[in-house]
Amino acid sequence: MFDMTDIEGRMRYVFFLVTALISFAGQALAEPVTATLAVDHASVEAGKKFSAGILFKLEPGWHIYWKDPGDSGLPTKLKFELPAGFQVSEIRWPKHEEFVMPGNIKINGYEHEVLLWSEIQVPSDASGAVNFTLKGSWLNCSASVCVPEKKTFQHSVAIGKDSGSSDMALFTTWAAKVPTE
Amino acid sequence: MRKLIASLCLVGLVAVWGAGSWADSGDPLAPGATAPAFELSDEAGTIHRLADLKGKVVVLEWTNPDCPFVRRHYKSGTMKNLAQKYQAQGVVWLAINSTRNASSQSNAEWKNAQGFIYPILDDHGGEVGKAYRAKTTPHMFIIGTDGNIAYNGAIDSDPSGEEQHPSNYVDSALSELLQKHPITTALTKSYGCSVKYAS
Repeated sequence: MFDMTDIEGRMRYVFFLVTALISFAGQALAEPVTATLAVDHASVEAGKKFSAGILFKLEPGWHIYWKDPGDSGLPTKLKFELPAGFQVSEIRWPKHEEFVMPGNIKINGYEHEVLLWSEIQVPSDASGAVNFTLKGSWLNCSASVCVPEKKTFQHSVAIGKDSGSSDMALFTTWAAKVPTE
Repeated sequence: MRKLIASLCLVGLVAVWGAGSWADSGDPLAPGATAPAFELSDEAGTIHRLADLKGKVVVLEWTNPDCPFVRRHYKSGTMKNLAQKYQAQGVVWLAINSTRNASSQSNAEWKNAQGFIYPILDDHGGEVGKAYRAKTTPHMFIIGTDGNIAYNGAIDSDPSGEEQHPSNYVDSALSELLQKHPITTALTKSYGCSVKYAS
């Protein structure tokens, strides 16, 4: 009565449907931009520097903006809140891309993935740990829509013996993409 | 055959020359330049021609209801209040939507929801937007009584919406223009979403 190959075929069909549904739902729910905090040190020596920033991962077709956004858009911003005495550098901007949108609208930004960060100078008399807040704000645009977004991160870095974090390699990779002036 | 190739080459050359002369240099229309003519219908089907408005001060506001920058200025009443302020002085305010998927119907729905009184013109093909080199929503133009561009640029000094008291460039320029004073700031960089042109 039962045709085994037919049952297998049906099961495969159901499996295909379920997989397709999950993947469709996944795409529909996927955030166009994922922003995560990145810090290069687990602990840092007083008087030295560490780097902290945001790693942006963008879905295909979406972009965020460089410091000079071009004809439209907004520069991505990082704002640090640190205890007195800590000094924050300008944002380190890896080489951006130039896009020409319909209507000859020229914009400067990033697709796919980018790390934007600042270096933080630790005062020589600092001790214990440094707690800081990083507020990121950016405009995320596709060819048809723009979404302003912001995210706040809080983090603590121990002050003591210099020790890299698991993000160290990420910073090395992206630092190589920052143009030297 | 040779003749055919020769004439095809000629057609090609003319096409290239034509494309070159029409190409957008990317530079904004400078204050003092002739405002490009247009003829567009509004959300109710009424035709608006720039030629018919000669002798009046005209404000053009590039807009897109889906753009967060536009929504911010509509929420705070920037456009509505400014249009109202200058309406009594005979200033004509026209919103223009060059978004590729816009229509008179969607423009009408948005106008009703927002409750502003000025017309919103349908330019979903983008021809007028490109003639003015409108880059963003919002992007503002003021045309003087002489039919020339008097102001081109941003609505105000606050791209990220963080300033307590931003300078409204359009307000200042209109006020100076109506008093026949030279316009202090006649060209700024507009900010906002890119105009979502069809091509």
